[in-house]
Parts: sequence; C-alpha cells; structure tokens
Amino acid sequence: MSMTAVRIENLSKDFDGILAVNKLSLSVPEGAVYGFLGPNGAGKTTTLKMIVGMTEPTEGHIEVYGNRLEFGSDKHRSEIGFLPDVPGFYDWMTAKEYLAFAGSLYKLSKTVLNDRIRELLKTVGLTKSQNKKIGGYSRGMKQRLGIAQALINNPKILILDEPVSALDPVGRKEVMDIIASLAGKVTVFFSSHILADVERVCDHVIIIKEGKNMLEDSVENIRNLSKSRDMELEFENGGSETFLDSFKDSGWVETINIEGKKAKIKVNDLDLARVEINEWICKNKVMLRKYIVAEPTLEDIFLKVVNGDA
Amino acid sequence: MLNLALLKKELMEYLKTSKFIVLIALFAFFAFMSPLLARYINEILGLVSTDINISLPDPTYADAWLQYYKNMSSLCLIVFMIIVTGTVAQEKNKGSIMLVLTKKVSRFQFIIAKFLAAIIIYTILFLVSLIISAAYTYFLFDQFVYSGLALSLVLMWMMGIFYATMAILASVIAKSPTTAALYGFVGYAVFNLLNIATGLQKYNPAGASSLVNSILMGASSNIDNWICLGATFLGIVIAFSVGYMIFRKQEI
Repeated sequence: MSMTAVRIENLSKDFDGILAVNKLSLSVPEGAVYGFLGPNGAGKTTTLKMIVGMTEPTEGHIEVYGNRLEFGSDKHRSEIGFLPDVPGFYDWMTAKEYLAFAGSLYKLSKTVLNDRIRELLKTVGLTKSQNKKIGGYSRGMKQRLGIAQALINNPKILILDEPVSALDPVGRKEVMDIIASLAGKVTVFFSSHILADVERVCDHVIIIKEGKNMLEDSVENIRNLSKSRDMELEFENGGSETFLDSFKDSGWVETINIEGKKAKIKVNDLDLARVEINEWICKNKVMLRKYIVAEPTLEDIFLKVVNGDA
Repeated sequence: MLNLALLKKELMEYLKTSKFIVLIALFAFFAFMSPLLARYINEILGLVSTDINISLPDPTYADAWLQYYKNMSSLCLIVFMIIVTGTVAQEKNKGSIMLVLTKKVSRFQFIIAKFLAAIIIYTILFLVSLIISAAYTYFLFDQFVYSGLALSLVLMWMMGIFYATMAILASVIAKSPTTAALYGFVGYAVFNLLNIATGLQKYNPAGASSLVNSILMGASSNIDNWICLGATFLGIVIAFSVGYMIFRKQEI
C-alpha cells in the first residue's frame, strides 16, 4: 500500500468573511502526479500556499508524511519543493548563481551542490544559459529555472502552482515534458487550468469549486464515472434523416445533430445506445463509413463538475 | 540562528545592483563637500552677493563638522533609508520572498539577514564618509579632532542604524516599495520633528542629529549624551522586535 505524501483534513481559509477554502480534505499518494483543478477563485493557490507555509489556515490541518505542519515553522520544509505561479527571481543573478544560493539555504555541501546544479540545469534545459543573468530570461526559461530551484535539495514532494498558465505553447510543452519526466521520482502536486496537460501527465486529480472538494480520484476512475459519451456516425448511403426520426425521442439521447451524412449524438447510456443503434443498422441495412465512440475527456468531466451537472 | 548564505546574498545584492554605487557616491560627495563648503563659505557668499557686504567670522574645523553632521543626518540618511525600505517590500512585490521562505529558512533568519546587511552597508558608508571628511577637514583647517568626537560619531552611527531598522519595519508593514518608502519618510520626519523640543532630544532615538552639535560647541551634558545613546539602542531593539513580530505572522 502506497504512503500518503500530503494529507489535508477539513482545511478552511477565511479572508475577512470570504471563505476561500471550505473544509477541504484530500490526500496525495506518494509518487503520484496529482492534478489540482478548479475554476478561477476556487481556492487552489490559497490551498497550495497553506501547504508551503505562506498562509495560515483558519481551520483544519495539513500533514506531510504523517507530520503535522505548523504555520511559521520550517521543520518539514526540506521535504517540499515549491514553484509559485509567477516565480520571482533576483534578476542580477545568473541561473547557476541562483541555484547555488537556493542550495546553500539547505546547507548542501559544495560538491553535492555543484553536481546537483549540473544535473538540474541539464534536466530543465538551461545548461547553455546558466551564466546568463536571469533578468534576460524568457518566461518559459524562468519557469524551467523555477522547477530546478524547487528540486535543488531533492525534495520528496514538488508543489507547482499553475506552472504553464503564462506560457506559450512551446514553453508549455517544455515544462510539461519536465513534469512528465519526474513521474515516479517525486510526488508532484500541481494546479492547472490546462486540462489537456493535466490529462496527459496526471494519474490522480482533484476538482475543487468554491474551496470545496467536488471530485477526487484517479484519472481512469474519473473517466469511467461519466456515463455521458459522444458518438459519431457517418453514413455511406444516406439514412441520417431516418436515423434522426428513429432515435430523437429515445431516453438515452441527450442531443442529436445531423450534418449531411453525419450524425453526432450525445448519449447518457452508452450500452443501451449501442444495442439499439446496432439493431437499427441491421434492420435498415445501413452502410456506415464511420462509427466512433469518443472517450470522455477530463474537460467534459471538469465542466460538468463545476457546473453542478455531475 | 544566522543564515550566512542569506546575509551573503543581501550584501551581494547591494554590490551587484546600483544601490551601493549610488550610496557610496552620495556619501563620499557630501563628505568631501562638507569641509569644502565650510572653508570657502565666505568667498562663495562674497561672489553671489556683490552689492551687500556680508561679514562672517573665519571658518574653523568646527564648521566643517557641523556641515558634515547636517549632511549625513539629512539627505544621505534619507536616501539610505529609502533604499532600505525596499528590502522586504520589493521581495514581496516581486514574489522572490516566496521562493526563499519556502526553503529551509526561518522568518527570523530572513529578517535578521536584511538587518545585518543594512548595518554593514551603513557602517561602510559611514566610515568612508568619515575618513574622507576628517582627512579633508585636516587638510583645509590643520585640525579635525575635538573633545567628544568619538561619542558624537558613535551617536551618529547608532542613529543611522536606528533609521535602518525603522526602514526595515516600514518595509515589513508595507505591501509595495513605494508605500514602504513613504512610511519610512514619515518615520524620519516624525523623529526629526521631535528634536524641536530641546528637552526631548536626549530621549529621542534620533536625538543625535541635534546633540552632536551641542557636543561640538562644548555645550552638552555627558549624561544626556549617554541617555540618548541608550534611547537609540532601545529604539533599535523595539523597532526590530516589532518588525519581526509582524513579519512572523504575516501571510505572503
């Protein structure tokens, strides 16, 4: 059984009457790449700031490997690496100098630190720019340096707040590739708005809304939760109009759109829909060019959860 | 308790950005100008007012020191304070504070590194300006030492440290560097206004700016000077403690 890296119990944060986080509970298994999702203002950044000790919880508690965190204490800091949404560096330092500074805060020996800096600069692709002043770095480079500084002391947990939200597609891909490469080596807990990225690298996700846990499970289980699916049929020899007449009043149909020879259907009971459609195809001797059942995307599920349809 | 890596970073920041260059140039300029202006004030006044006959006594080394103390406790100190007020506020504003405080660094280590760096930088500035001014005073007047000079310098130095601590307190309280600079300036103005009341000078942590003039004129009470030194020390301790207490509980 895997250990729990981060456990949050009934965590709340009240900002002068505004409840940013509302009795939130979650647990991040060790080694997981855990996606933290929610619309703007859902309380993601506040939650992450409470985990890293920058904000004091109003209620509840946070445990890291079973050790309860206290606001203002630096006791368990070595176990967590953190990258905020917009990391602020000292522009007058070079990347190499910054990493040396970050490492010296953990009192790493010079030899260990030099090896670690070399290794991390390679991982994040900044070896060639290591002696360039950070002030001249692009946003993507700063974000990659941010990941490197968060990993400087080899922490067990890496917490990333919107690591790709401000980046262009190239920068986004570079950062996501780095996060994907960390899977299995370190527990990654990261918030994001970009659901396709979360879907690609995460094995677990939690969706929060108004500071509350709406859904938390493995990506695989969450996909299976959704009974609603999209189907697409393309007819070889016509039949789309007959198809519409035959099924528009069926209980399993949510929507049907006919575009020429194509029918796009959203169904709420995939098994029943498949049985009835197959029977109709045989009975009417319909020839098909395409028959597609789309996998539910995290985006579909996210939208349903935040809109209260799930 | 002290994190040397943080202190080193603070000092490097003064050196690698333009902060130190600006400060040392300013302090050195006024250290040089103070005896020069004192020495040639009569000639300067004579040149600018040809139709009025101004008769002033011949300048002495005491005028050079008066000028030096005035410059060091006004413009030089204000610029130094404004630079120090950015120390925490700028890090909060830029977000660099978060990357540091989420590492193995306590809030005390963070704030004490800022405080010590400010003391070290101020001490260097003060010593450089003092050496320049004393040497140039000696060059122009053949004398620079007077009774009470050492105590005056200690008072001036302590007052600088007090204002540096006030600047850090302002920086902790404020959310932006501009607000911090404003708070710092208000603090400077308030403590300077307190010097108007002669009886309060000895209890004022910034009383040195007035007392050094009395020492120079031989009109000061030794007890008052030591009381002022104690008040300044107490002011430093209180300002630092308040700043730390606020910072310790502050949410970033």
